[in-house]
Amino acid sequence: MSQAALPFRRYLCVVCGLIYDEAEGDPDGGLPPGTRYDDIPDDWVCPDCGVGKADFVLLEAAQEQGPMPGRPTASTAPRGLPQCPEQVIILGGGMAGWAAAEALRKRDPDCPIVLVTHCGADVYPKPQLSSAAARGRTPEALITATGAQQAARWNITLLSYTRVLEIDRRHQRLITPRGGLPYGRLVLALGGHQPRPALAGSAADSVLQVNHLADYRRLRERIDALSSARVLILGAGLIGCEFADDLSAAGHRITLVDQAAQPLSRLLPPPLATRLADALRHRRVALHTGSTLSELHHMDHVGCVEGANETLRATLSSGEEVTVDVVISALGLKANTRLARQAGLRIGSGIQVDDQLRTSDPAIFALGDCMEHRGKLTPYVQPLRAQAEVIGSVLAGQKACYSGHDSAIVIKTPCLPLAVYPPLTPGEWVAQGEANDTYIHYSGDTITGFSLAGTATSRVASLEARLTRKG
Amino acid sequence: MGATADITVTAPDAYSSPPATARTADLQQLIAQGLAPHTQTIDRQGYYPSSFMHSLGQLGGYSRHLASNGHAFYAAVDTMAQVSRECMSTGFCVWCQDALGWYLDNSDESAVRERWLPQFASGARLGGTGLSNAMKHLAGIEPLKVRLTRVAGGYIANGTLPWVSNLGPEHVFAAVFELEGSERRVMALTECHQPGFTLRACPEFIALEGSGTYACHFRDSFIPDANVISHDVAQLIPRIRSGFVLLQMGMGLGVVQACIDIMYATRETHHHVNGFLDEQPEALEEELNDARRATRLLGSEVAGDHSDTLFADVLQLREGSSHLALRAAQGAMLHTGARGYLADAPAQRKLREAYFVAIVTPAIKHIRKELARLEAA
Repeated sequence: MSQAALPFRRYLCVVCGLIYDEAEGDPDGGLPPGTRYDDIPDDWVCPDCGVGKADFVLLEAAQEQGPMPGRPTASTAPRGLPQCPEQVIILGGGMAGWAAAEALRKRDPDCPIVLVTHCGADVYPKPQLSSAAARGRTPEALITATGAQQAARWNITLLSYTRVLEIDRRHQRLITPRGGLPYGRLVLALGGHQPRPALAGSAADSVLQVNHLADYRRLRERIDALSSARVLILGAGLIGCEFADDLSAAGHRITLVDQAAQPLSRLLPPPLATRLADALRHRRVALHTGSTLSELHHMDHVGCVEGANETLRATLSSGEEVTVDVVISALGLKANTRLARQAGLRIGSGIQVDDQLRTSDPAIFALGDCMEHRGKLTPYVQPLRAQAEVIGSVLAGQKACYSGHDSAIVIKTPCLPLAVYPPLTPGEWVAQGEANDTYIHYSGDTITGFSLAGTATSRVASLEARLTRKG
Repeated sequence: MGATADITVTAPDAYSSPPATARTADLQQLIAQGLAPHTQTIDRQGYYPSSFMHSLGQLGGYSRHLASNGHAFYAAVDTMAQVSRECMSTGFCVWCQDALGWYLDNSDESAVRERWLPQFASGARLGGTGLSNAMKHLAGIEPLKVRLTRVAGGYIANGTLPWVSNLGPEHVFAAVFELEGSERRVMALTECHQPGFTLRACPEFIALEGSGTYACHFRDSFIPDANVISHDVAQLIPRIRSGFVLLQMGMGLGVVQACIDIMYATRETHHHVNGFLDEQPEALEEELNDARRATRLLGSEVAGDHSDTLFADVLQLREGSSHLALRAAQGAMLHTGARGYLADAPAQRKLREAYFVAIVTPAIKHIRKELARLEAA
């Protein structure tokens, strides 16, 4: 066999470690590419250290590779990000995320828990955003613990201001701009968002939504500059009605706009919706029902109040025009499902979970506004605690089951306090007593819901007990 | 693993080795033949690879992130990364060219865009960006260094920018200027041969000497309105800043890949001892892939999202690439050992280049300051 048929070989300089590759030769040293080791003249020297060819050894001989000694090749370097492969990662720093973190920590004092959130993860009671506006409380006064304090209290690693870009289920890894994070189990507490209204006009982008503390801060900045702000609220659902009532109590002038004929019309029996409308009007809330906001423009600077606030001209679908300082959109909450959808988890109107609050991936759980259990969303604070307890138990290796039993929704409209247990089955509302404050929903002979107003709301617990809804 | 059978996620492996398309093959060939033979000369003797830079433009290397190509930012970053894997000094020149095109793509002045952008996008004209000063100015780190006075048909410029790269006598660059007696700031192109303007050699750097970096002196130099990208950059800066920073990922990703290459190469002969080192290529590869995926995901957002929150995401990613490059280069040095200490060894060149990733605007300290401001808002 001629040498030309052999593959090119490589030789290692044992003195300095230079590799002589027969294919490349050493053109600077007078060896054209393809010069075999055997053909190298004896006066040739290593270009790096000057020793002769005798100090070169065939690389294949030196190449017998055993297993890697020393450290394993897994990530051992410090990276700033927690890298325990078994760690539980909770995604979301709102009430749901913290509730899940606490519930797990109470049951398992040792397991590494990491809470990742795009916000600062400060702890505050979200349902009080509206009443805080009425009492003029600053955003800071609402914070009961900073994210760092809460993390220290529960021995949790907090990664705040960190956005998760992707869930890599195959490698159980989260991709963030700060780097990758492995997870053993993942809890999605991604919350919800209010859809932005589709508006025409130059001021379409200046519509506020109040779903977070940061939103509340922006709202306060806008209305605090004015002693009596003109505020248009789009959507007379739970959030819209609460803000309309609370902001009017704080001396602001409210226009409340909704497509339906009455406020809270999807939740309340018609006579109570009428009572609520009357109570709001009594607060000087201008109700525009059967209408919506279609255009929003900046006014000409003529007549603009001094300061940073700009005056806006809102055009309703009815053709009416309203001059306002602030527009708040309060359309119904939608589950945040984008990340879960990208990751291929089963999604309905929320991230679908079973009775252990597991998603279609057994390593991933979900709770709160982002999840859908037995076909239903539960965008309320009330069921959060129970959901967190179930997740905490299951993650700690205990048995637990979320029944999804409904509870009454308490609507914090001081002008007319309300509590509603929404029926899921068809039936009819029946007034009880003379006071026009108690309505019971019957499906056949079975009580399937109730609506209470004013002082009757004190009957919530006893009526809940009478409900026989199947879990 | 709790994974189930219905997984549809993309494996990160898809990001580590780009598909061997014709474009990739052409690029690899150009780098091997038009750049690699010059890498040492670029690094040691300050040779500016003009011919390679023009050729890369002919391959479409400077236009992937532009509107005309659907803002394919990741493709632009990947091209830069492949160049940087061989020679990061030249990768930096690619970034300069890309950034210049990006500003023009976002210009308020359509006539200026139509006249200049095709020349930069195709690599027919080469040029750079003097925006470091402006970025630091916006972060409250330093004042703007060149001032304009309005005159008929344009502006008169006076002042000095200390370091602007990818320049030469026929090159062009964009910079932000302060307008005398106004709050307004102007972005405009300077042609390096225009009257009143001089390029002066800088003191020697420890790396990137072949990046065409000069001090730029303006002395009553006239800039015509026909070269003004924006007469008021207040609206322009939010549009361009995230893309500007994200594109730089190409440098860091390329250097890290090169260092991983070096570690694997040394393992062939030194696995019996290199295994005792902290940094190993497998772990770095995992982190490199994380950074690539994040770059790809943010790359799909930077053209349409001008928010502070997205800018903060991009800055975090960019900061991470600096730390990763430093660690990878240190690792490559330690894996290579004494041979890496030779003056023409790739490991020490990568080490010097990696410091540039961490120091070029926005430097790690600049990013930290900016993120603190954004998080407090």
